[in-house]
Amino acid sequence: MLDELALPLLLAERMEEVRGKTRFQKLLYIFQKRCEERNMGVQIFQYQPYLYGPFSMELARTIDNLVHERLLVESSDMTESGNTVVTYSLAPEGKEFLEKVRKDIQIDNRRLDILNEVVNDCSGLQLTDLVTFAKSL
Amino acid sequence: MDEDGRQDPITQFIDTMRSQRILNDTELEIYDFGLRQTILTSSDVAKHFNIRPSTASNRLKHLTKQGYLEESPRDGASKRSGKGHAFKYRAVHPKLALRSFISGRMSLEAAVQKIIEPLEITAESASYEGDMWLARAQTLAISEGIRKIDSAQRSIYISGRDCSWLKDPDVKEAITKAAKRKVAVKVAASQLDRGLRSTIKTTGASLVNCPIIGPNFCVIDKSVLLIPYKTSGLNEPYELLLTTHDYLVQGFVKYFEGLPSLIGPK
Repeated sequence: MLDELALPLLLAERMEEVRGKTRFQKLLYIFQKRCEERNMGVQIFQYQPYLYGPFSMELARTIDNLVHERLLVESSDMTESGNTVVTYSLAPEGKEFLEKVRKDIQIDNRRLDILNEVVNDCSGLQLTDLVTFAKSL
Repeated sequence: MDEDGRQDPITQFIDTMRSQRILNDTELEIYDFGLRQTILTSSDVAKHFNIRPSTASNRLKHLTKQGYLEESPRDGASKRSGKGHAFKYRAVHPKLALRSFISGRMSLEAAVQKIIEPLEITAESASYEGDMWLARAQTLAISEGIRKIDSAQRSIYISGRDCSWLKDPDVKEAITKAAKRKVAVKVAASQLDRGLRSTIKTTGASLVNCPIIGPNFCVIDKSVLLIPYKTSGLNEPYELLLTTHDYLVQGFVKYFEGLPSLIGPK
């Protein structure tokens, strides 16, 4: 339960800003997949194959709950073409929460390294490329 | 409400049902009455709401058919109506009465979660530059306007006669948040009333009275133009026109930046 709340917050902390829920979905899927490959896989979110790659209803709802609990800040941003997209960032309360639970969560350093690796490798991808990549795993 | 201003749970529940438009006001009043009574009859309802017994009876039957009340079968073999044989009703527990509604809402929520992905992919790839979009419903007009204000990174130019649309508390909050994150919010209005003038000042926006009655618009980051307007009477709701059409947007930016009293020498 704690991991379920902490993982999206850790991703937001590392990314500074997560542009759209789809990015959340795919980046955390890639993270879970890499943990699995390296035998460090505790599946935190259950994913199902969907039209745009793996999708977790549990994660979608968790993000909403984190926004509702004011641990994540949901704001709007504009694309170059003038469309509005929703972005997520860590709220000060989210930062406090992470500091409090950091010792208790099961995400050990090796898994945090994987999360950093996913952020480094994939955060710069265009959304469509990220979706294609997540689908290919 | 109690001393601390807390609403009683039944009123709160009925208000939520009202806001979700689950039943109409008359039906809700009867259901509320039913939840507070053990047994209802049409004469109780007629008396309580000061309506005719036949009307009360029809409303109770209607609510029974919809699953919010249940009726007690009459005693005796004869089912004919008559004096002394009033139908008895009682309110169905909300969990049961709303079961299909709640499961419908859950499926709707799941469907909304799933539709986010294709919408985000479209938003990041498709270009609608040049198109003009009209949000006709006032709630949509306000939320679209707020979303755009929330997305501002550098500047928000607001022009208008009295800028009365800024009175909306959510719009005011969005403007305040923008000013706090160092977005340059500038308001040029020719006929601001005193109340709105102080409201705008509290948001952190720069404010200068405009000598001429200017057009009503808002430009976000010199790239998105929002035009709130009323289609007819003063009491009509606002609609909102949105566009990123560069030529059009730049025309409004030029007008705004040309207001010497606001911007000062370039």
